Amino acid sequence: MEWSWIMPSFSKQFGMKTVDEDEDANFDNRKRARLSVEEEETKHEQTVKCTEKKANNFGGDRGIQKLWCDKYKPKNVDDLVINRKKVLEVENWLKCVWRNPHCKTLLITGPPGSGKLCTLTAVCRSLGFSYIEWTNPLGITKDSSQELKFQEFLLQASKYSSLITGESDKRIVLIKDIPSFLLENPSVFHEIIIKHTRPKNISPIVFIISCVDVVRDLFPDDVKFQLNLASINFNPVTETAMVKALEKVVSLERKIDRSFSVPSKDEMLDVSRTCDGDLRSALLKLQFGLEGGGNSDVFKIPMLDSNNKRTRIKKTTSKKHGVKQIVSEIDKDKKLDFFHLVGRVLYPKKEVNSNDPKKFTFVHSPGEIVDSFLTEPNKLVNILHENYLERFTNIKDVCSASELLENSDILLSDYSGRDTLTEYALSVTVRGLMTTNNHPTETKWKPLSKSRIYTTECNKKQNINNLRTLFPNVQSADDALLDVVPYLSKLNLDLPPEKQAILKSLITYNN
Amino acid sequence: MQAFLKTGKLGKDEKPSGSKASGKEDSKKGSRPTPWVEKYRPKTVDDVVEQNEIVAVLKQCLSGADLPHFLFYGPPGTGKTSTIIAAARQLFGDMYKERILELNASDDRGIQVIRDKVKVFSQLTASAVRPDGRPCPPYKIVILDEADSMTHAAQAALRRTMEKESRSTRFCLICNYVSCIIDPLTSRCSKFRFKPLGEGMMHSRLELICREENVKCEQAALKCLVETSGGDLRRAITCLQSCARLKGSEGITEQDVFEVTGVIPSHWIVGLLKICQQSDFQKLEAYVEELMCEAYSASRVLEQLHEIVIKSTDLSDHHKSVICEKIALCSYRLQDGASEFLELLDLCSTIMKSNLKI
Amino acid sequence: MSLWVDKYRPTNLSKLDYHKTQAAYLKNLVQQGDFPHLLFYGPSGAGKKTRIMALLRELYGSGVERLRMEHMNFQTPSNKKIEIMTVSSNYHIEVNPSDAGIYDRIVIMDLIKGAAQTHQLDASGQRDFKVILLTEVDRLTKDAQHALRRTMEKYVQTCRLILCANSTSQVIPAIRSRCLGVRVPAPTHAEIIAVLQNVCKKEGVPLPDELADRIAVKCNRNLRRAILMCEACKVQQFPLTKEQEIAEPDWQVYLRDTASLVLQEQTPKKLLEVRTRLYELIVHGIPTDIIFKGLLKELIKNCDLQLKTAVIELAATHEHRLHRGSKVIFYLESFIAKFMALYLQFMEDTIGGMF
Repeated sequence: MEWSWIMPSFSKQFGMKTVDEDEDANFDNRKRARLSVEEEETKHEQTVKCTEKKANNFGGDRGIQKLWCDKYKPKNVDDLVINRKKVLEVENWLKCVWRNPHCKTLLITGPPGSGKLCTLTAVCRSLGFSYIEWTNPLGITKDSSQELKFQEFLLQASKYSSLITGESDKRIVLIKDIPSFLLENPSVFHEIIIKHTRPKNISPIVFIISCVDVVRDLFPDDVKFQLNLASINFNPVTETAMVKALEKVVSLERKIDRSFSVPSKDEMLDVSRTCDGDLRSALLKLQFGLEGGGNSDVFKIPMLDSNNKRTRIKKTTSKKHGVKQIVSEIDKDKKLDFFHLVGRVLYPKKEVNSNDPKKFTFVHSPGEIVDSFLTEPNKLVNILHENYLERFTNIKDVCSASELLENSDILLSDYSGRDTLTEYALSVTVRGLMTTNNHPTETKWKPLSKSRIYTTECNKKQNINNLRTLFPNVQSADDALLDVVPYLSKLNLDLPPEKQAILKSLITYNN
Repeated sequence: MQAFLKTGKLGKDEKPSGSKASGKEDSKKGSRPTPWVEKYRPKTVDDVVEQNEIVAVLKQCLSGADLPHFLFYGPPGTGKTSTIIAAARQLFGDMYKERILELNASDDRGIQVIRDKVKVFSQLTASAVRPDGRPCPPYKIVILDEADSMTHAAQAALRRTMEKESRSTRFCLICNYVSCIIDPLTSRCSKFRFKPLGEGMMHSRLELICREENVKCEQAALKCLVETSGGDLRRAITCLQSCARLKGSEGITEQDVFEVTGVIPSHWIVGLLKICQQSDFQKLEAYVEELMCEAYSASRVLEQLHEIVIKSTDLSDHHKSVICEKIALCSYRLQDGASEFLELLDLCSTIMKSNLKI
Repeated sequence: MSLWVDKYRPTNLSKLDYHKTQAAYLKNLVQQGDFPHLLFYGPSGAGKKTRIMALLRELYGSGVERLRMEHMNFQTPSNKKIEIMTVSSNYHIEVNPSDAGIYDRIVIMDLIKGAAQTHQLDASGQRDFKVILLTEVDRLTKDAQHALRRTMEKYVQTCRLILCANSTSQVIPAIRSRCLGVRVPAPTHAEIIAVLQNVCKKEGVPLPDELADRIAVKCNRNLRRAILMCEACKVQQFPLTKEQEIAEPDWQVYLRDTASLVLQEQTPKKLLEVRTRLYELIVHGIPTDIIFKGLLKELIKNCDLQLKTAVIELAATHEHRLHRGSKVIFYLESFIAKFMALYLQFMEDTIGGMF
């Protein structure tokens, strides 16, 4: 629905020739194609609070333009590009859940776009289950009513059979949204869920949560244990799998719409690389990169120095199509830019002055890089920190680089002066790393790794939380971690298994 | 607290009546000992020692001259608050409560408080006669203790109030650092700097208290108290009281004073310097470790070390400067929360190295 | 089954194993039924907490030992909820406000306000004030410490504070001067041996003198660690023998191994490996000053005095800078990098000097 009024203006602005002619030419075509997909579709409008869906239904908007990621959502288990094992895990759980009255809850975690919901729906479809999903009610801000609504939903969803379909036996309850009130008060959430799962004849509940923080808060280890919670963690979609998926979608789309040229495999690889395992974002990028012809600049990822050839191509084309240049400026995807800019810092390209070989200028201005990260300085500093070391060969260079990183962190930590200091901090990092590496590694390009600072912090918190559950009466976490815990593990105490496991995790160091 | 103003001396079991606006220790039950600091505050302006200028000015005021706005500044424990309170009590006698508003840092003193409390108070009229017909000064006094911790906005708000209400209200700002008071305020006040108290005076004061309280205290301990307090009489008296509490009926020894004030017995510091003169690093590390295990605070070690180094006759000036520079650096880092062990070790190894060079 | 550390913890001021004169003074202090705010300080494992609890028992009787655990909720101005674990009896409440991180100020203010405003109900025969025990005050933010100082003055009528810190250096002078400081030095070598022997005697486990001596050396004058070590020894091998191995905490071993990695090879590649291990230590909650100290001690073992001084200075500098910044790994890594460069130079010089 929404698309119908957004898209025309959208597409015009984007210089797409599609909407009108395209629609005339392809509408029937598409409609026919879609009919087969949507033949079972019952015109489901969203009811106020919760949407009941049959697993094989798709969003019912009859818009002209549809997002590829919705349009080509996998319907069968075989269409999934997810690791077969994961799919099997989900399938097994769903099969077993009706037989095992104790294991009624499943937690699916994983980064966004890793196919959590897709897998679940596809598996449900293949097994013939339906699901009912909780949606956060809009406009209700009062905490108590949110909580009440949520409880009501749980009760209805699992106890009463749907009036429309009349089926209740093979239905699962899906919770993707968590009411904000419960997010702030995990203990209330625990109470509700534990209370709710006590009776044996309830429908199984599946939680899909992508945010690590939320998982940590809502499902601490003791709650997991009480719920007998099964958990499945999805990994980001691998590059090869993603390329496969992209190719498939493109080829399907080609059947309907021949107006774009098929992107090369390399280009698809680039898209997938920049999306960090997020299939949804990859599809979005591909779709809007291809709309209006394959040469669109948006799609042309500015290449890193190692792939210099393509950069030049891009430059020439962009000169020809001034309008498109603007478009690409608007649509510039943050993530594309991000890795690109990081690359520019880690592999600085210098133009040596012909008169004086000691003087040089940077091809890419460090100032520009600094400017693009003013709003998220820590992100840049963290990823540079994680990756700079691998590109250095001389320890003396590392000395200066690491000290500069320190300096920039100190600057960034000054909360009161952050307006002015952020820029300096970034400048110190960017220029510092660009100039200090006098002996770079031979290999041209290594994939960037994610910064571990944040996860380390999270895991540390998790560990301390675990410690607190293990020894509620310990006041000083340091003392406990340094003295008590290491020896406790050596005392062969009679602890319940879950405590034993926590204890083990607290003293095990990976080498 | 009126009571001790009149009698000057209080027996142990006397209950002080009334409460101070400052919200400091106040006893409801007789069983609780009064802090000696409160108990032995100067009762009259004449009792204030060593601050001659201000005493002279206040005496004039007492004999009828007008009272300016005051700004008292100086290190803690030199009698700033005591002076103004004593003066006010003498000025107003039993009307003290109505004529004085005392605010200190324990009260919330944002701009709002200045606007409300101070304004309301200063707008009250003050007549020149007492209820019983005797004359009294026609103004009220607002005492702002620890004024340097007021926000600048609040100080600015105060400026207007001061100007507007100057007919009936006098302000007395008390602070440690005059630089934290905005200029418009300082220019409106007559400023008085309170000097740290002399050792002889403190000594006699402490002796007096010991006599009154029946506390046995060694002369060496008293001397030590005076030395460690650095001219801060309040600190010295509090320490004395703490020692007396800890020891019960036993006499107070120098050792006790060390313990309560956190001063490190000098043999530790001397020993540290001695070890630095040898070149045995392992010994040094062990010594520093031991110092930490004894729970002596590193900043205190630095302070005392500094004292010894400065006074030392064995060390050359150049050597002293190297050590002092490092002491400064280390105490700065300690301020920021750096590890005590590392800082001490750093300092000591620097001393050791510089010893070797010479 | 409780640990020996808990089982043989003295509960009475007169039963403390060491610092006996101090115990007598503390007894004097509370005899008058009242005491000023107290600040207990000393290294960990010296017995601060034991003394505090014994003091409270002296004051209130055995009622203080009936403890209950509660979660207390606090709300920040931005409506974020913080949950803090408290341990309390009818007479006192124990909190570690530094758990609240940067929100410690709110915890302090609310907690003291709350405790001070609810008067003791059974005033008959009991003290008319409550005791608030704050642990790890030295880890509070400066902001929180200032708030503490203010509330300290304000609510002195209804509550007494007992503060517990590892060192006074990190406690602001304003708080120090308002409290009576009680220094709790770590027990000496001989005292530790005496306690160990005592505990083992009560357990009916014969403890060879040599083993006791070795444990006392190894525990760094930390009594808690000593007793735990002793108990671990007993579990590993019984009866105890004099040359049996004393288990070390895993983190200590890991830290030492990390240091030896650094000494093995001084390249960015090795540094990367070391970084992973440093992350591992951080994840396990090992405080950064302990990491710095542990690394430093290992690293300088092979250095000459000149280099030692330089390395110590490096460690001190970087550890200090860490407190000004926020990402601890940067500082640890930078220290290691600097050390590697220095050490490489040193090795080259020594080898060059040989020819």
